[in-house]
Amino acid sequence: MTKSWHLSRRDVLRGAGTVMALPVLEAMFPHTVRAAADDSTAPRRMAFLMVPNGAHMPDWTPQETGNHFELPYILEPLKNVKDQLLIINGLTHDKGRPHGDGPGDHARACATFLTGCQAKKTDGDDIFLGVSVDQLAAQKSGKQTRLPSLELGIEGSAMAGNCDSGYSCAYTSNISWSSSTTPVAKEINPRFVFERLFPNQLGVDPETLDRQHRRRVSILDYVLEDARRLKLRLGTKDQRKLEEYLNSVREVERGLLALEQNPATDVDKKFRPDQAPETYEQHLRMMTDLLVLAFQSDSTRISTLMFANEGSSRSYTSIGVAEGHHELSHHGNDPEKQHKIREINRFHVTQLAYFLERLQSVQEAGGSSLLDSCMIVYGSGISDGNAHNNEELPILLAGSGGGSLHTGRSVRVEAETPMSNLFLSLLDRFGTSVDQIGDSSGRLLGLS
Amino acid sequence: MKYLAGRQKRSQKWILQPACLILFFSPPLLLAEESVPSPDVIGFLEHHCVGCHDEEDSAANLSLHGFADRQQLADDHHTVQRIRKMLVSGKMPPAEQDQPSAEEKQQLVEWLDTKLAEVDCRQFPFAGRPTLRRLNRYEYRCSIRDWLGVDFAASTEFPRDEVGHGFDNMGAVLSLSPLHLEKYMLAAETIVQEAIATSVPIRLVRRNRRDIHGGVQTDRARALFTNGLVHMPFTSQGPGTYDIRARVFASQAGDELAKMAIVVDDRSIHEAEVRANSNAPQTYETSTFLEEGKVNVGVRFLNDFYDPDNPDENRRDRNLFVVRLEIEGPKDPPLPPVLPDTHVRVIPCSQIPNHVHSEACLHEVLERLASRAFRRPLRHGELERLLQLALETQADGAGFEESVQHALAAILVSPHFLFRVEELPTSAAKDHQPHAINAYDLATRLSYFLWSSLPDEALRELAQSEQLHESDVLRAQAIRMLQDPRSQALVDQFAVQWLNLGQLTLVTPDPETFPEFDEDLRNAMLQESKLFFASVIRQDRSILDFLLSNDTWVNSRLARHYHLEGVTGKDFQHVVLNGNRTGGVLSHASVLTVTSNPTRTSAVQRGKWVLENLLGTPPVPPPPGIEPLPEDSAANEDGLTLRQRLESHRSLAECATCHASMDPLGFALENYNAIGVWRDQEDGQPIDAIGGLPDGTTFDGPKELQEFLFKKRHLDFCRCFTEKMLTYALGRGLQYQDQCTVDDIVQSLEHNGFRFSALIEGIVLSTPFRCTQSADNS
Repeated sequence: MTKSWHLSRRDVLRGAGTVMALPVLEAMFPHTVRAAADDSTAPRRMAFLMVPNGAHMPDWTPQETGNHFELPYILEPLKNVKDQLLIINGLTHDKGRPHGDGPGDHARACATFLTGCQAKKTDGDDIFLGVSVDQLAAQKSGKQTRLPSLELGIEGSAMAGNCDSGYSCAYTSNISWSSSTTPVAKEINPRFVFERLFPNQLGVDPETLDRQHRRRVSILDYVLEDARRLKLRLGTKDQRKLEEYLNSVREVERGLLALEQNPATDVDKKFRPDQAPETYEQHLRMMTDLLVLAFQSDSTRISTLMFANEGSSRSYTSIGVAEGHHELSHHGNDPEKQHKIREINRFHVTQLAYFLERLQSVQEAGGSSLLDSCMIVYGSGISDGNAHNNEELPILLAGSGGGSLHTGRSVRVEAETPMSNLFLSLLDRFGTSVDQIGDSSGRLLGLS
Repeated sequence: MKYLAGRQKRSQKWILQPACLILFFSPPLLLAEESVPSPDVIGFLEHHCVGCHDEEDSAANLSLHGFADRQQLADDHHTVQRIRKMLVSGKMPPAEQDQPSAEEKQQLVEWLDTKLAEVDCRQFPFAGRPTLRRLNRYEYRCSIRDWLGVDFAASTEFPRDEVGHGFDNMGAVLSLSPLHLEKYMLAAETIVQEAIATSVPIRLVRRNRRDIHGGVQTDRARALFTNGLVHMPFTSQGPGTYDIRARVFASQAGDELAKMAIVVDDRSIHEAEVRANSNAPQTYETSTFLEEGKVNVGVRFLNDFYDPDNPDENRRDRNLFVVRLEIEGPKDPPLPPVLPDTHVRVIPCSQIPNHVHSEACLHEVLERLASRAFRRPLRHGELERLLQLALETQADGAGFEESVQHALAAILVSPHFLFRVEELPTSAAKDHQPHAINAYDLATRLSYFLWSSLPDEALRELAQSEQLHESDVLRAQAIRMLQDPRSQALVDQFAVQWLNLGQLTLVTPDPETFPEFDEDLRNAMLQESKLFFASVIRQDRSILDFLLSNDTWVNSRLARHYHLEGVTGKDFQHVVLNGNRTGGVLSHASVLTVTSNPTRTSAVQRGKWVLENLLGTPPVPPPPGIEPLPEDSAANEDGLTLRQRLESHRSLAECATCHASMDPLGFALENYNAIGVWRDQEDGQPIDAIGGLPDGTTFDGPKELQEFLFKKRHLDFCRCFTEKMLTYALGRGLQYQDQCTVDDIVQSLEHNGFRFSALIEGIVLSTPFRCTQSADNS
């Protein structure tokens, strides 16, 4: 390895053009050998990427099914990874429909996206949904990695009001749920993600690290005891809240122990993305860069990433769209608005392409690419943003899941096939089979 | 109305006495069925309501079909309330339907009132019980500041808090994930380092363009268009080596690159050529030795150059742009500690020779820290566990200060600090009746309501002496606390969320339509609303001033926006308005902007905002399948004005009811454009700002709308404002049983000139605020 591999801080921050890219791990650390290298089969990874407000379906859905299909306008940016795609047309999230609950399609669609469950309509005390597919996988397998899962996003919760016609903001700003009542907060700050992935400060002497570790464990033991004693004195509603606390303490403690057994990659803090991203695109790219690093360093194998909160009114001025995304999505069949919607859709897919190509550029120990080992689900819980329909969802898979998915195809499933069936099939491939998730009615066949 | 008269008398008693205590002395008041009119309730529903509200097509998710008799309806309190609200507001039955006579309507409303009164707190006083509340980011920050004197930026370090019922302090909604706990751990490590000195800590000071001086502020940087200096003051905490970093870019002209120097006071430390362009600013770093004390750190532009005739327009002007300055240090081995104030405050015995490292000192320090953090005296065994923790750390090689740091970190992560734990009085566990909470919990409720922070010394003393439950004492404390600077929390937290001003940081007015919109204006808009709210608190003004006043706060930037003369400078000043523009939140550019689309106003959004945030009657969301009006586009192929299209949209029966009471409110505000500038014309057409409500009321322009709200809808506003403040104070959504509390407070407001303090007093003296009851009966 030549000296030129070592990137300076300035190189890192300058990155490519206006976007600062985090370097991939080999470039940062020529001496690092990934922990799983002794095992010739790469572990499988799973990520769920969610975009808000549906898509302009005529420019999303390929005309043909099978191996020979043209990428429609919105998906064109994926041309370099086309053979890694499996576009699944016709999936439905029935639980996104009102079923008597009235308006609030965005909240319902977002809530059901990874749970297949119908959100309880409330903007207050009694949110209730179900466990999401990523968290099911994490709960069953997460002990293999230091972080059971990694929840990422670009926007935090909305700041005021109920978020959608009487639905809590918890539903529109989270897709990961560790229990029916517990959304898993997502991290939106690239620096904090970096610190979670690489908690070690390079160059700190082992004694200091050891001491820090002991101190942290001692604090966790102390507060765990506090919480146990407190719980005995609380009513049932309060006990549920405290249960969240207890779970979190155990989870963090588990993470600390895992760090001891399976030390995190040493990464110099100078590579930490300290400054806040200046644009949305930069922010998204930093998050996807971090996600690549997370998979590559085997810090986690499960992740979710929300490109924006559901119902987002973000405007995309960098591609000439001044109007808010949500307002536009109610296009009323106005061609000009539909045009802008599909530009936003394509812009998001461009970011997806960047992520996938980056995954593909990373070689794993066995010689395959990191993307080969992945099962990336990308899409929205709403189909057309104007009609707010929940059938015919825009959903695609990327990565072959270690050869377990037959990619390079566009397929169509029977009408009303639950998206939850796809989740069951993915969990099988991930080695964390369950019998049921949300409204699943069976496995989704024909993926292999 | 006889019913109201009776109610009033009782309610005064209610407010003046500790509500939970009188329960034992006042037998349930049973209102005799015969004493009220007996309208044909079911007949009324069948005739006027079930056409839409039947089981199959239950409009607004409400079915009014199938009640066997009045009693069955009366038992469904929620439905009773909804019917009452719609009848009273005149929204139902819809205008195009057969209308009940005024008398019929009146009778029904009275009957509904009676039924509500029978079941609610008059008979079964209600306190409710908020779920265990986690401190939100703002509360965490205020608590740490007031307790330890450390300013920890919780709002950037912690995940955003979930919002319910419009506010981010709802116990049931605030969740706690492993991510939170990780952050709490890291925060604790940072805070204890700052609070307790073990050596001179390394500090990083980072200032972006807004907080540095010199040059010209642009939207990305401080620009130096001629040779000159951009700088910031810095106080070195101790002698040592400091890293100085400047993030800059340049525009180029002539034969040489832009040159800059990093300077400390007038001393040039490091010179560099700046190649970076605006697409990719670069960070330049150097280090230098500084003595303890104040210095000025900055960047100087050295070679300004101007070449107006260059054919390449990108090569005509050489300028330097400074995005950010940072300084970090001291980096050298630490020196003997200079104790910060916080350290002395946390470890007062550190000032007493020979006492410093004793176990007595440790004992004293930990007891103070924990009881302050937990907001109550320590329980049996708690102090012992903390002492043990600290001593174990000492045995593990930590010095005295470090062991205190460690115990303090444990306190900071303890559920007793992170949650506001209120214990149910043992007597309450069985009877589901309201019982007074203990005095420490009351002090905590009070301080988090008004300060978003933990109780101060005065409150703790009153809690300890068991005086805080006395109404006079409680009232006096509330007044004292409102006048304290910490009540700024009500502005930052309550006002910003009530007025939806969080949205102001997210809106993006179209730069082509509104080139004058910039960050300074955005900030000034927010500041105006905050200052206005703060003046209502501090000067104890009438809350009706939110609807209409003749004053506001502006700086020169906002004054220009408002076409006001004679205001200079960045500082805000109080101004009296006497032109078209009035005061009150509806004329604040902040509110007008967050209720607009990027390119144009939205009468619908503004009307909806008024209904939701001022009148407390949020419109029902459009039914599924209804196309929202494409009002955000100026293009109209059919040659209709936006107003005409809105009116045609309203001709659809399913849309008409809501829009008829919503849009006119927005129309009246049409004199304000999408960023709140007054206008008399749009696209050459005069503005039509006439709004007419279904009941025949009309108003022309913002002032008449505000006068209408002020004179005719002020009680609706009081109720709405009270409900929101009570929700915020209690940390839970209101239930129908809370109506009596709201009624009482609204009355008290009326009797006290609508003064802000009357609202706050009403809340802190109310049953739900002072009492709790078991929530485990369901």
